[in-house]
Amino acid sequence: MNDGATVELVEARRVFHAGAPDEVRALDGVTLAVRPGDYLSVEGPSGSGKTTLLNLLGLLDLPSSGELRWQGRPVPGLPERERTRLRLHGIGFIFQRFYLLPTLTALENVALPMRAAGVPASERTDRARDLLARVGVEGRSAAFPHQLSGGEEQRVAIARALANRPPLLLADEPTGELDSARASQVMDLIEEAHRRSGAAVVVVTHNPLVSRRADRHVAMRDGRLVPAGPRE
Amino acid sequence: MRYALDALRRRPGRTALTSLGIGLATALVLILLAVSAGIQASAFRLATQSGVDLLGTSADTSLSNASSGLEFPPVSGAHALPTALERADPNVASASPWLVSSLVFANASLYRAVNASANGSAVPAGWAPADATSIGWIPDDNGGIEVPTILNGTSLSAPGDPHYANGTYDGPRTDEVVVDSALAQAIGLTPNSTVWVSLQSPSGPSQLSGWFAGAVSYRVVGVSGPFWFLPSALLGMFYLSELQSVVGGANASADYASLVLIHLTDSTHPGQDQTVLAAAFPSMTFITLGDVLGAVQQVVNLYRTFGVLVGLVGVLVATLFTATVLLMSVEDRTRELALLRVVGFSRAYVGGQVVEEGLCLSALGLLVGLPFGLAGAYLLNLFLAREVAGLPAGFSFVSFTPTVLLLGVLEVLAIGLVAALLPLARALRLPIAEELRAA
Amino acid sequence: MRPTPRAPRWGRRFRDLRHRTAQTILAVAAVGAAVALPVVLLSVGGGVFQHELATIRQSGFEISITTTADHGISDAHALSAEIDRIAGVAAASPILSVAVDLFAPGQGATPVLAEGIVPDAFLATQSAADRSLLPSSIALGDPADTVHYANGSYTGPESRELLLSTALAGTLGIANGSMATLAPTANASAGVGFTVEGTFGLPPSLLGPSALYVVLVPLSDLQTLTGYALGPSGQLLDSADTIQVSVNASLAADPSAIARIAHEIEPLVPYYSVSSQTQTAASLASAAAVLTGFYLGLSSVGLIVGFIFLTIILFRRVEQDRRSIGIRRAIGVSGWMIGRGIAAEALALTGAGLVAGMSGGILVVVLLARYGSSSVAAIARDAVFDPVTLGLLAVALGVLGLVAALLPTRRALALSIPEALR
Ligand SMILES: Nc1ncnc2c1ncn2[C@@H]1O[C@H](COP(=O)(O)OP(=O)(O)OP(=O)(O)O)[C@@H](O)[C@H]1O
Ligand SMILES: [Mg+2]
Repeated sequence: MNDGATVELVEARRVFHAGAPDEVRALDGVTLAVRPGDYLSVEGPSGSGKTTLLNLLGLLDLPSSGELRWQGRPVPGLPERERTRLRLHGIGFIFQRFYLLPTLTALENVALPMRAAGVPASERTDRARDLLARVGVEGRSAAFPHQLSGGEEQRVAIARALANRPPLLLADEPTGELDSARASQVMDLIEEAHRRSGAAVVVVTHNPLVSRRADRHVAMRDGRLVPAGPRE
Repeated sequence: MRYALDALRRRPGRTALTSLGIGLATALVLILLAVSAGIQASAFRLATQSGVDLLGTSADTSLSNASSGLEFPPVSGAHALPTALERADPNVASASPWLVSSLVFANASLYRAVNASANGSAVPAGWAPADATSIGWIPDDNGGIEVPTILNGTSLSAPGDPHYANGTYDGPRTDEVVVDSALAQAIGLTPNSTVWVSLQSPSGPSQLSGWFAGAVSYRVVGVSGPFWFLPSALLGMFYLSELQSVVGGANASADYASLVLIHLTDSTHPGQDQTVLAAAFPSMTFITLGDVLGAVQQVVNLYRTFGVLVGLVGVLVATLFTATVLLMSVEDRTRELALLRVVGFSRAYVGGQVVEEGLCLSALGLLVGLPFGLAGAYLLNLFLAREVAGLPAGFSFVSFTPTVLLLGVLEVLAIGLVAALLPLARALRLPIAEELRAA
Repeated sequence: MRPTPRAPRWGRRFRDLRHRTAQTILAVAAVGAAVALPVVLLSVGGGVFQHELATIRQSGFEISITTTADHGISDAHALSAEIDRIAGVAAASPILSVAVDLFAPGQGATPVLAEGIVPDAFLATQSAADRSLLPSSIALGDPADTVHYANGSYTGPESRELLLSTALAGTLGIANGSMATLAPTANASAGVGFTVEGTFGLPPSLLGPSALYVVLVPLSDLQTLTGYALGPSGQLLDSADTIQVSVNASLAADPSAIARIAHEIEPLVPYYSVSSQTQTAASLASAAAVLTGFYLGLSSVGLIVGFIFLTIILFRRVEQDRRSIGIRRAIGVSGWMIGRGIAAEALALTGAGLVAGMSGGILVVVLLARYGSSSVAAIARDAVFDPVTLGLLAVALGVLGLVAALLPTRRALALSIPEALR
């Protein structure tokens, strides 16, 4: 039933501590497809399963039951090596807490995915510089993460997510730790990437200013997708 | 205590590996200590058991000379010595002159083979006389001094030394010899076999007929067990005068022996007897058991230096190891420990947690190390006992005395305590506690 | 977890190590201590072996004949003459060593080791170094020892001359030309007077300078004195402890020629053992190998503890790096690259430990040589640091380091990425 979806979930469940008294159904039968060009926002209260959903879409985790497919191929059947390759070339992650490597400079953080992909050193430095310039922190390329402001850190993280020109960008509350001015700069960058390369974007957020920019909206409650609430 | 145990339980893998590491180091130290104690104890026990309290040798013999390969020149007037020594020092219970010499032994089969052809051509390949260390003594004089036990046949049983006959060397010869089981087996001797003995060592079969002509024949009266007194495994035991006559030059003026073994009635102060005897016999040197053990000790010390080095390295590695693990533990619990301080626990209390954890690790290490050490020492003993020939029954290279065990326990505790120092300092300087206090 | 602000650009691996200073220093020290032990034991053991080997190689003779019995060689004069006639043999020197008492005028008994020699042959079988310690011609009256002993009988006049070791001459204060009595026992009246002809030095032994009391006397004189000339029943003994055989200078460096000569000697003395110095060296080498194994066994305990230690440290680092590893994995960095990072960390630690241990071990040997007790110091002075052995040790340690990285790498790759990122 591949209708061109980049990644899709069918009746996917993700259960933690199955069978134990503290069993958690973080995802409870979710069906969702992300297609090229999508710009999707995911909302929902804390603990509703948004991050769990994103982890599955990002091939970081596997469903306990149901299906997870990448371009039509069932992901649980792929070897870990192949999933790693797909993450490297197919997916760019942007996290709420940025997750830059503290021992690498901004430039090295951005170059890291290209290094993993075997891009020659000189080329990846050039491209990392370009990316940093695109997100507007070219002046801080030699700085370590702790020497950057939150907004700068997140911009470096976005540059890193874009490094291998992935067809899918996943962002988990990318503006959660930023004030509104910086938040909108960051969202501008994500939106620009979406428009320029046609990459599909899934953004998890509580922030209406952020979700408003998306074309499609879903909401989660207790591990299930529910129709998105009214837009203001 | 609960806190320390809890910290260890939280990381079972790390705790297990650490215990194994400390345990191995402890086992190494235990083995080294046990070997050192074992050799010393065995040597001491044997020396004490031997009944020999003093050794008499020729003048100016020093043990340092002996250890550099110099043999003792013989003592003269051997037969008269026991009485003279007992008279000079009433505390001398018995004194036994021993002549030790290396002789060549051949059996009757070889004799017949040699007689069957003139130039020894009938001697089957592989047949040759055997070299054996020979002791000539006066059996009566060995009172209180350990001699080998007879396994088969009898010992030399005539009173005194019949052939000597007050220095005339024309008394009746007994022609009796006792051989040890190793020699008996080597050339096929049993009680009543005839054996030929000579100082000369033939170079090959063609010399054998001349050799038998110059050799003296003896009758084997008994076969004895191994004798640890002498390092050789092949032994023959004769009456002193009869061995002197084989060695040659036996006459009243050169009535010689290699040494005199002295057994004391009261052996608590051999030094006093040493002084008394040295004054009475200026041509002789008297050596106490302590001197002998001291000389042995010097040789052992050289090996011990390296043993200590090995043990120290083991302890050092284990200590650094434990320190690192405790440091990790402190880092892991920075928040907890800081919180304890915030809630109002004293520095001493927080420090105590770290030390306790160190000691708990030590105890676990000891638990692992003890069986390893015991097993390792047992195997080492087995190995050495197989490698070293001629060991007396009951000789053990290792001994787990209470002192050894105590040292082992102390060593492990020291590892735990010393290793706790750096982590302790770290725990006491917890930055969060400082920050909270300053605020 | 935070690097210092002015982290110099020394490569990432080093930066990783830098901000765990205490842990790193302790780990390097522990691995270093574990490495220092085999360095010390192997270099000292190897040094002793080399020293003994050199002693064997430098001796002036190539073949020796011995028996297990004391003074067990009989017919020594005739046998030596017979060996001397073998083609290629330069000299055959019988030696009898017996402990006797020496009485200097007006002094008590001094136990000495008397070496009965045939002067010319003795001189010809000494190494150049040992010969320089001897008088240029050993003036003991009868250079070939053929006057007193001849054709199996001891009927000629004895030479009754001796040489004293310098240590002995110094203690006794005897001048050349004076008389000294040698006796088989401490009974001077059973002794025989000898003229002191001179002194000789002894080569230093492994454990320090020799201060032995030794006298050199003609072989036949010593045999007569100690009863090793004729047996109790008058049979010929002519005993010696050994016969040392030197080959012609042109053959001395040719093991096969030496082996051929040894094979020619063997049938003359089937009951004795004939060994060439090459054989002796080979058996010494196998004994040294056993000892090396023993040292390695001892050292392996330290190395195993160091290995366990390294494993723990690497586990710990994986744990501390959970987040970083999770991020890398999420980005798509391969497991192989992450394993390589851990292996590099292991190698960096073992490498630093290796350097620390080697220098520490060498330092210990140097300190032992300088400040150890005399016998320990003497042994330490001879230590050799064999590059091949040390190289093998380094390789073995590198392999250990990589093996130690295995389990932690598995742990790192088994990390659940979502959990590492939580
Ligand atoms: N590894 C895990 N083990 C156990 N429970 C988990 C695990 N991961 C998530 N959960 C639980 O699953 C549920 C959904 O978690 P998830 O992180 O997806 O929520 P979320 O919607 O992202 O919440 P938030 O807005 O707070 O980030 C929660 O109840 C959470 O506690
Ligand atoms: Mg979340």
